[in-house]
Amino acid sequence: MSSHQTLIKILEERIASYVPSAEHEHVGTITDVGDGIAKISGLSKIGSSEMIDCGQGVKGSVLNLGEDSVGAIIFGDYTRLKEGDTVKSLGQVLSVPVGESLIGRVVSPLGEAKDGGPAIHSKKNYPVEKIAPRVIERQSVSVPLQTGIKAVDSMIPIGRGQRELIIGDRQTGKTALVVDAIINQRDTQHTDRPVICIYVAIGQKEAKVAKIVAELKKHKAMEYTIVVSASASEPAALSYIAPFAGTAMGEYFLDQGKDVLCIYDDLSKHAWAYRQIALLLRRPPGREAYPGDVFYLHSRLLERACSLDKKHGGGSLTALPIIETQEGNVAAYIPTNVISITDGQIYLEGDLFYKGIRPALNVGLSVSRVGSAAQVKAMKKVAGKLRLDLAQYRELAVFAQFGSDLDEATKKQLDRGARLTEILKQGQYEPMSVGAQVVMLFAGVNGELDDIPVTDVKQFENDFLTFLREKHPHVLVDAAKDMSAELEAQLRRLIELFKKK
Amino acid sequence: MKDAVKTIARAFADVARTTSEDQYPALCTAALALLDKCQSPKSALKRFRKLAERAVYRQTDTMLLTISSPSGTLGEKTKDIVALFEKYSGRRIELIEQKDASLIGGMRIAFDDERIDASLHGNLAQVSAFLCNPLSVSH
Repeated sequence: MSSHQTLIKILEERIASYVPSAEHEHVGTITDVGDGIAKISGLSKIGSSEMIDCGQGVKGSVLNLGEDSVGAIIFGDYTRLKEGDTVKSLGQVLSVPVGESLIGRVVSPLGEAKDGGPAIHSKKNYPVEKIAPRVIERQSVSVPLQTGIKAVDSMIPIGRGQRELIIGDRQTGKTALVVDAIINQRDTQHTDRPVICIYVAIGQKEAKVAKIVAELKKHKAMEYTIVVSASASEPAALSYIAPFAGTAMGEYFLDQGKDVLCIYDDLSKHAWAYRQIALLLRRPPGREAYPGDVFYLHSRLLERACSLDKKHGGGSLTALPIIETQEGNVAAYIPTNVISITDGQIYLEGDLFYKGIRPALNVGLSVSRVGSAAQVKAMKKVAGKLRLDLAQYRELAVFAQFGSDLDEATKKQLDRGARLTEILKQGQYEPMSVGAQVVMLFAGVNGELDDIPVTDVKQFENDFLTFLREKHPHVLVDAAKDMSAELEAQLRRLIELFKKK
Repeated sequence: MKDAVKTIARAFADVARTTSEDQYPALCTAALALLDKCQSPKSALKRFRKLAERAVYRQTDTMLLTISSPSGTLGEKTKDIVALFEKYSGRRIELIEQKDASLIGGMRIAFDDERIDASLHGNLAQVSAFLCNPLSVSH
């Protein structure tokens, strides 16, 4: 039987199996609509966050439950609705399609395709709001999530299941850092623990999202990435649910025991969208006009990041939320909220960026509360001294500005620090493998680069790594595991040999 | 302001119960004057009407039943439907019959915040959703 005949047969069976029935609906009437929200009279039995069908393909979700009316946010073009329209309850909380069919796609927070490709067909839907896994279901974070960025993986290591905040002013490289982290997960795709990435763009420009998608495609990262986009031109309701939707999509893979990386870019705009919705729904404004539960908004989102124990699948969901500060003020309301929720922060400074230190990481203010528990042994050995050397360098650099005569030890420390700072600089879209990172940091902290001019350090790094990849690839593989005494001796010999060349 | 409308509506319903019909116009004028005094916007008037209606029905234990059909009337069937609702709700039924040509056939019954859609229009929407579900084709 040809496929046409099969299709006709299936359609005929479907039509024959259809039993018409009267539909019982719970309904209400729109009394007020505008600015993305609707006031609805009726719907007396509806629950919070329950979905409603406003007709004309427009859906919404009920947020305010009043005695004789409810307030709902509209996911779509609210101008198509008018007073007097009937809306009906869909009897389910807001949920999004999840599954493998979303990988490689750009979707809206409702799971609709935005990349011009075929419609998303999914067999399963997950609720957007979900209670986070309990304490008993979790295990300690111990598996590293390699971002491929030397400064991060050495001094602010991130583990799978951790929440690490990326915070900084505008144009300091926050998005660049997370895009590099996504690109670096390409190396995990052929291991026994591949990482699936979900990038949630909240209130971003469409052009920026398109550029990120293009870059991910160029580096073949879209093969394991889902992009959820609620752009600036779309209703605030979509920006509000976007991070929850992205997390729900990630939880599908988490439930299968897989590792997921969720990036929320950025939660500042998420808080703005929530403030807009809350003010329109006449909820009482609090500090900076945010609603009183803006902390809960982010805490319930980020608590869903976890590392589950083997009994519950052993998967993990790592969250990298981004917060944009204004003029470096990390003590503002939303930044302090999210700092207190997360397991550490990566602080990017504009001053460092303009000095050419990119990524513009402020090592002094950045921290990972998981720490070396999320580092491979080799990195633990070389990174321990690195942070101390840099801290000493920063202190001494202040005195060096006064131009006073310096003793030999101080000059040596300053030279070492300058070379370490140079090593930690990294180009955009150039994530580095663990082995390469360990090798270069080993060379830096052990003084092997002290005789190389600071301006030539980057060139030396590129050439030396190329030399190792071509002639001694096993060194990079071994360095990714542990730094034994033999490997250290071999590395020193190879560095000397390369210098002579 | 929102509470003022609700309070006036409830008071209106309370007073209307004990007032004779010939005094209803005066009662309405008084209610409108109160709303004016509270500086309620015009949209509050529509809410007031609905709230007053709801308050009256609640107090008199009445259910407003709206039956919509393409012709506007179902004839004898209407009595059967009303009797059925009276039996199962235990409340007095106030019936409104509406004409809605978009239903094509059948009927739609609305009461409180519920609606039973037994119209052809509703059935066609169900069929459309049913057929548009992804097909599982096995070769």
